[in-house]
Amino acid sequence: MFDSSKFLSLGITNVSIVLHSLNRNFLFGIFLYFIKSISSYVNKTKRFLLTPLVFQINLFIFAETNNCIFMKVRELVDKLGLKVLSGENGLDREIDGCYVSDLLSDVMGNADAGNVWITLQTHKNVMAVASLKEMACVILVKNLTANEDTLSQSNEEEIPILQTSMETFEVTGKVYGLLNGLV
Amino acid sequence: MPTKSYRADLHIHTVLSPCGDLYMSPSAIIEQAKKLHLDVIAITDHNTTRQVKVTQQIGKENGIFVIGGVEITTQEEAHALAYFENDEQLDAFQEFIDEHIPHIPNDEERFGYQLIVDKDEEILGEEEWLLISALDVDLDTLYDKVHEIGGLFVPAHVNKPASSLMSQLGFVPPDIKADALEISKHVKKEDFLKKFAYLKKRTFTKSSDAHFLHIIGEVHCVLNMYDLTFDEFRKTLKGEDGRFIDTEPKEKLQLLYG
Repeated sequence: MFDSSKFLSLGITNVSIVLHSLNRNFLFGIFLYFIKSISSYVNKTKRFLLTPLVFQINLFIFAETNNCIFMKVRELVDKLGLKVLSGENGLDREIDGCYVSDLLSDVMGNADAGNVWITLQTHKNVMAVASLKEMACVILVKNLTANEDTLSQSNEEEIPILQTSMETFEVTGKVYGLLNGLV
Repeated sequence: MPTKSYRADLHIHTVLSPCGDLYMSPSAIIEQAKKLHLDVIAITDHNTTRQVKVTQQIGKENGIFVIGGVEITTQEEAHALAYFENDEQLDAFQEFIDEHIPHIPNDEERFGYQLIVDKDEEILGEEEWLLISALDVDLDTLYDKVHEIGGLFVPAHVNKPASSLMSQLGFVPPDIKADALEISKHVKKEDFLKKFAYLKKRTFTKSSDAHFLHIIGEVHCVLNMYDLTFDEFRKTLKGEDGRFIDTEPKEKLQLLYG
């Protein structure tokens, strides 16, 4: 017996991830109820042709949200060949967006939780600001490295400091592409 | 023995800084300082000490105590003042700057002139490399170097929205290596400390950061110490034996002609 709710569950999984990240658990609840109602309606009335329609709605919502590719810091490291300088325990942090700035006051005012931070600043305040803003990781460009103090704070906070030989433009472009499903 | 009060402007640029006005010759600065009845001034050009000695000479002839210094742009692009006791220290630090300044040639049209002048305002030469670039040395290493030579290290205008510890580092690190912290005219020390109480044990200075003659002494601080010497200044930054700095003196400087 074809159970449309299993087919629809694919859509639920995708959208639920999106909605969860948007902190709209309430909306997710409503949406889930919606999906379940349609499923039971379709199962009862055997109008299976409605299933693709609901699936389409899922995909539409999915496509309309930005940054819907989710990955952990570990995956970013693998995909871009970054070197992990410190904070290995934080490699499973979820990434949500990215912010690029070398002025710490700017980052304090404008970055969001879960952001990757791309910078050439190596002062240890970088770690203080990264932890304050609950950022996922810091990428230092041009093979720059941080000093002992910063690295040990990164280990303590479990926020990885990653290193790349690329310059800011290139690595930012690549991170943007990865997080937006363009590459 | 009570302390004596010395009116001080500890952050003044000369014609040598590209952003310093062409009228800021050593003789003009000393004349202005005299008119304002300043007791102490410090010459702090961007990344150079080459205009200090002439100014000190003229200052000596006119009863103004001139502290030789420099406003360094650190690797983090924050500004920090360094003050030195004598010629040997100044020369040693100038050598250090010459090793670390990036070789970006100055563009006079865009950035201004970098002229070295003598006491008669004759041009002796120019600084070839752009003086507003950042040295490739970070704050802590600079503190160590300045102290190794025997000078004093004071991050400049820490509250300003640009080129300051706050703008570049987000906040003043509680363990920042510094002999004092300079605040700009935009904030009173007590208001600053209301927001950043963890800095209340630090010594603060306040100066004009004058790039133009009429800005000299616009704000100043009063050093309360026992004599007018560099050593006394050093002890005042430490707050030793009753010495202290008043960053909001009641008496504003006025141009007193004659």
